[in-house]
Amino acid sequence: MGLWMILLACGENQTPYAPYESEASDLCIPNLDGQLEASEFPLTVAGEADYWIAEDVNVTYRLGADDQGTPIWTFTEVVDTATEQTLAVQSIQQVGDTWYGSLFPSAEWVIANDQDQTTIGLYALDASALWMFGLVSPTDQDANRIVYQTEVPLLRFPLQEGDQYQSEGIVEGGVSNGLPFSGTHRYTVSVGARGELWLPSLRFTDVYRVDTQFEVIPTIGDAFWVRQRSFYSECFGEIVRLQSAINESEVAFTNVAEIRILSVP
Amino acid sequence: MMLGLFWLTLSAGAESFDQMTQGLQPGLNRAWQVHGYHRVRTNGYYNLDLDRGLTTAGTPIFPVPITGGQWLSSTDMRFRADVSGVSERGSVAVNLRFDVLDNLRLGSLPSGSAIDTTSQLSPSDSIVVRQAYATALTPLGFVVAGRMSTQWGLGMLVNDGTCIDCNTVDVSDRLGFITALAGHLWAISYDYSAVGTGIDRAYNVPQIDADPSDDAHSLSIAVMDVLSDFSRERRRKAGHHSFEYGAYYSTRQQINDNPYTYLDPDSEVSDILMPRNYQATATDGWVRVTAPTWTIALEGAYLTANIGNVSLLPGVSSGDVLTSQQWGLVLESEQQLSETFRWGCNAGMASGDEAPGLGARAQSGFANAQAGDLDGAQFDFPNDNTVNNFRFHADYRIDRILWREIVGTVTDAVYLRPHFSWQIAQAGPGTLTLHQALVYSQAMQPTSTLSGEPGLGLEWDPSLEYVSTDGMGFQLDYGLLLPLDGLDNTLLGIEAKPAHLLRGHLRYRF
Repeated sequence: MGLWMILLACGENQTPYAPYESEASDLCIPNLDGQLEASEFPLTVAGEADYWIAEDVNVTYRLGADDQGTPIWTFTEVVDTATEQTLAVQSIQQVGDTWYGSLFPSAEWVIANDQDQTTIGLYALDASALWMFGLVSPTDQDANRIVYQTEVPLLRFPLQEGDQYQSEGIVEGGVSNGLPFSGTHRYTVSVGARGELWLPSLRFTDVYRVDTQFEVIPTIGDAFWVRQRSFYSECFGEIVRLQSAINESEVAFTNVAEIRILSVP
Repeated sequence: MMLGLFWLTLSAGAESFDQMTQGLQPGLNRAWQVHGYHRVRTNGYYNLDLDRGLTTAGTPIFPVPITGGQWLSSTDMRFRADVSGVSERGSVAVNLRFDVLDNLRLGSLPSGSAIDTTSQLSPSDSIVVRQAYATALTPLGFVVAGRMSTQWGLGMLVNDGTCIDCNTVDVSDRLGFITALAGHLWAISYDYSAVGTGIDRAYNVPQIDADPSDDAHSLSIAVMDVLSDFSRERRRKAGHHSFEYGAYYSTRQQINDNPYTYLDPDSEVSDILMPRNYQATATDGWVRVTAPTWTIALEGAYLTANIGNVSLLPGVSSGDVLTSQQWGLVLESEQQLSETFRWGCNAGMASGDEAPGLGARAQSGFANAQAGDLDGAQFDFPNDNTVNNFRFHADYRIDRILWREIVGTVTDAVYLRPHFSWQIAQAGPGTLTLHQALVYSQAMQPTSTLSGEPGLGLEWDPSLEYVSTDGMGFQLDYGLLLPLDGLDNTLLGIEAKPAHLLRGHLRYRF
């Protein structure tokens, strides 16, 4: 009996070698020092980010202010109408050989704009800024191929309340939505306020409201713009993003073409 | 969570209350006593990963050899010394406990490469002071103060790790008072559980707390009627029954928290506090009846907790409150059939949580477990805001493989443990004894197991032990775990295979 039991587990190990404990990632701890630095921007680990995304909704999100006058933004109800999507964040090495890789030799990160990766943006992060190099449709180079002649600083670090800056990306011989495109992408960024943001399960303090007006100025044809209002937090990055319809006149727009809310695990 | 919060040596055994006060002997001259032990353990682990593949998280349930195969081994040691000093009038005693090369893996610090090493290096913490406290006898009772270990009841919840095979070393920074009233011992203690960041000052003046709101303090009250081991044994031999019992209530609170103190102790950030709103209580009771030929003991505990904000990151707070209700129960029994034979049956239960994974080693920042994982955090906001699995103290052992080595401690489980011992012979100044135990374990919540099935394992744990009156002892242990379907890998369709353990002990007491 004893020998039989002892022999039961003889033989080669059927469990492949793997570390006993999962490797701990470097934990980013907010220091709440009134500015968001590059090291507190969570584009250092490739993976996936889950977002609650809704389209064409009216969003009223300003709850009021606390006793010190700090604004409070709430998105506790919007999630009810949204669907959860997973957006991929990959290093350029993970993406491997692609038709667009040679167009962006300095890009380090590939971030999907949507779950199906219809379009992706190419970025790099350093201590001074989050740089954007352009965007493409990875499966169809004739659909979108926007390459900035010089990379554009989408966010300058350290990001703090009161920041205002404008930058432009020049495009020559690009493709946008299947049509030839040459012109300018202009980004006007304003960090308008610092406040508190509420999600259904979590509340963030020290959140920065960043308004970006994205203008598309073709060499030939009419210009148009889209507004984006984002809320950034130390170590979590962009928690909420509101995107307007084309040529929205109100900076504090409430008719939202798309809203995405970070699903925090 | 609340584990390890209570009262020092106020337990049922001689290792506890008596030990704390036995140095107090009015009328004696000033005296010092030194005692302790040296132990060496060698362990062989065969297939403790159960040949079941990896968990959902991609990890084995027990380390596997890097180059394949089934065997892993280790040999470790600990030298422990307890030093007690008694004042000239015998009413004040000071107590120190040192551990030297504690749990050091032998051969783990060669001086140089394996080929040319001729010596071993010393770890930076070669000598660690575990306890330093003083006891004074006053007309009203005993006053104790300092850093001391904790033991209560059967050791299921609060265990001082004093046993010679124990691994943990739980201590508390404490002020306490013990007195006798109405035929009972009454105790009250105040623990400085965590006081947050301190502010340095010049001229070696001790630090002061940066803020009182981040302090976590514990207050405990206990009452008991206990005997020393010597008294209990004397009564048993005289044909008397002994009835002992004890109960305690303990509470801990924290308003704010400075997570930098434990997430990043080297950080220069020291002035960020975040709301915690933590409150917890622990209630425990035990009873033991000792008859001339049998003994039976029972301990039960009930813990509650609320955490208003579970986030560990400053600037982020949870909108929901995490709650916890945990309970545990153990029964120990033994009957003496003859001068050389004893048998008994132990049993226990620890409440479970429905979340995947057993939650035995859950700690701050632990990732959520998925179905098919052995361990992980037991809450997942916003859908699950409870943590209800009770964890036995890691040094309250019921087996050798499943709970002690693979899981880490008993939690979310019910078990039955019949056991017997046979005193084979008196050999020289010592006694040779054969111990055997059979342990059946299953999960309280099937959703917590690796496969979703409740059965965990059947384990056979025999030992041969020699204990000499001159302090020398050795013990040979064997363990065989026959896993049940709760340990299978249903995702990969792999059935868990048996595991074996061999352990040898060399013990020197002085």
